[in-house]
Amino acid sequence: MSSQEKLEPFVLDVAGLTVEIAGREGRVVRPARDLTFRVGRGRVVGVIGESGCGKSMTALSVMRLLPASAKVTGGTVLFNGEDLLTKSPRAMRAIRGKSIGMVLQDPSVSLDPLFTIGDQIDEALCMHGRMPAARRRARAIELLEAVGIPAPQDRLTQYPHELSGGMLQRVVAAIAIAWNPALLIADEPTTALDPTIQVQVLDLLGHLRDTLGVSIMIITHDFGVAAHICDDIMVMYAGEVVETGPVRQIFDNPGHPYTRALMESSTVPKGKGRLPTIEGQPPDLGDLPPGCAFAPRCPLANEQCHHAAPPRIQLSDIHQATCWYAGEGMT
Amino acid sequence: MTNYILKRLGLAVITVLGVLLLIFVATRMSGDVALLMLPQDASDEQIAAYRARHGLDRAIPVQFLNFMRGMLTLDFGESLRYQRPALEVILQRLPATVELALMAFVLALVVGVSLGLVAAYYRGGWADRSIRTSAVLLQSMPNFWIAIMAILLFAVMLRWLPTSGRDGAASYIMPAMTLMLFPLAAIMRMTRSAILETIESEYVKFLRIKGVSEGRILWRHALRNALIPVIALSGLQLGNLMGGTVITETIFNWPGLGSLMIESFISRDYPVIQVGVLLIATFLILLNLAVDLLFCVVDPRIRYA
Ligand SMILES: Nc1ncnc2c1ncn2[C@@H]1O[C@H](COP(=O)(O)OP(=O)(O)OP(=O)(O)O)[C@@H](O)[C@H]1O
Ligand SMILES: [Mg+2]
Repeated sequence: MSSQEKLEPFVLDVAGLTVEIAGREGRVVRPARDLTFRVGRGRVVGVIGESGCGKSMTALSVMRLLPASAKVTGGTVLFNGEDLLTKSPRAMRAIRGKSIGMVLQDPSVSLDPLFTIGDQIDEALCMHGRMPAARRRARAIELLEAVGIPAPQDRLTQYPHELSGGMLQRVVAAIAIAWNPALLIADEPTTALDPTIQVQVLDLLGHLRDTLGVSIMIITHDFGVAAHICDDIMVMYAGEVVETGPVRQIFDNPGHPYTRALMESSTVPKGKGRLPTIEGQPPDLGDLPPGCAFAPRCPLANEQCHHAAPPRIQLSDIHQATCWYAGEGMT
Repeated sequence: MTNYILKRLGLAVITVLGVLLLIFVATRMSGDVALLMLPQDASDEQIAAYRARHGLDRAIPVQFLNFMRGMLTLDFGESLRYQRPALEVILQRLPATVELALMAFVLALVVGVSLGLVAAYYRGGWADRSIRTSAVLLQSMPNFWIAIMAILLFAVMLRWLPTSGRDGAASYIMPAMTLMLFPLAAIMRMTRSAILETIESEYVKFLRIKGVSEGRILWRHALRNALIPVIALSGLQLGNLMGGTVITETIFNWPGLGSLMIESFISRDYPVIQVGVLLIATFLILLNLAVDLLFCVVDPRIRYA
């Protein structure tokens, strides 16, 4: 970490972030609308929401790696106090992989199939500075050890297809932390893995936070995952943040009916039986209802909810929810 | 690995023998060569003598065995048309074809991959659109038609290039172009789509996440991954190109193997046909083997499978 780095209390401070995707027939889809959230230094923040609510788009906006069709149209993304949205492509490349690492959903397609594990770690180590080859090799082994891969020197000459999904995700994590980043973004890092492996990978992320002090933003649609390792939670619905707060406060006192519905749908024991889901579908992001976006599926919705955007209510100094009923002690 | 290659080579020998047997029987069932070769008024004795001299009076299996025995000493019989060893006739015509095909193939490969890269890099732009349009045009025009149009334009009207024959550098241009255009278009389109596919892949996204530059992603990762389908296609195209030489050489009166094969088929010059087929079949099989080995070099997933 550079010595000049200011120690802001928040590694990531996003305000008013809006992303637009130009769809067919001049339709505009906004997978992120006026998003405001923060990632505290050394904390693990879970971003939770159903599929399609804009979690990945949010993460990719922070990385400045949105697909060509998507554009950030407003807001600021302060990383260590500096706005990433105004950085030049070159400056951004110097941040990616160095100060911000990222882990993707499916480790089996995250690595180039034609290069060895060693080559791909080495490439990361070549990107942001000069190191003699012997030091890079030693560092690669050290990284593989840090993510709990047995016999690391043997892995260096192996190809991605020779490793299991869990091992690959550890390799991906090793690459992500190669330069001791301040922030690690993990986009559903366990979804593609076997249930038994999922917990191991989550524990690895927690371990990395404890040992490296890296702040983690972990995207998931599973409250169980969030409960397992998160300090803070941010619940997203239809491109908006509907609730943020420390995990305990949200569990004890969920402020938004959507948060409650998500919690109920994931606290049911895993295994047999049908997966509980929230009734109805998330709205079309190109055609949102005028009031609260969740109103059409909300058991508490009344006239007001359908017509007027709900206020952001403080449930404690660090816990807020965007709902007409937040804080009124739902029944 | 060596085991695999040996197994493939063994299989190759069997395939070549099968092809030979097929062509051997087929040529002998397509008419009596003695009647074709001798003057109309040849006597029965003359015909019988001709058959006896070329071993055509034996049963076909016996002829085949004799042919195989000769093969062991590189004696493939005598050309019925040239009265010289068939192998010699073939070897004399071979260099012209190898030159032409190699030139066309290397050009198609280099230009095809480069244009495919350009098209992928500037996808959606004018360069991409014109490259793609010309690829479709080229692929929909038959080989012989391109050849005839080229002769009309460059040889007859403009008088820039010779109409036919193999005499000087200028005489290579039209035959090589004719042979090259189709594989070039195919390789170009494959390169473009393969590059685009890799560029959209998750591992390229992860490379960007690592901070790798777009140039390095393209040259080191995307190109190498895109090469796998391009290699497969190129092997196929080189095979097709060899077939294309038959027509192209005939149109341009090119003194190569392709035109020799056509001449030999027409005059039922069995020995020459047999050596030619043996040579072409062996080449195609070795080509396939080479493509497979190249896969192993490029793709570790195959190497260990
Ligand atoms: N390339 C694209 N072009 C147009 N729309 C897109 C594109 N990618 C995503 N979207 C839209 O953006 C919205 C948000 O997508 P995003 O990938 O961020 O969702 P997500 O919350 O990560 O969901 P998931 O849990 O499925 O990963 C989706 O509703 C989708 O319709
Ligand atoms: Mg996603």
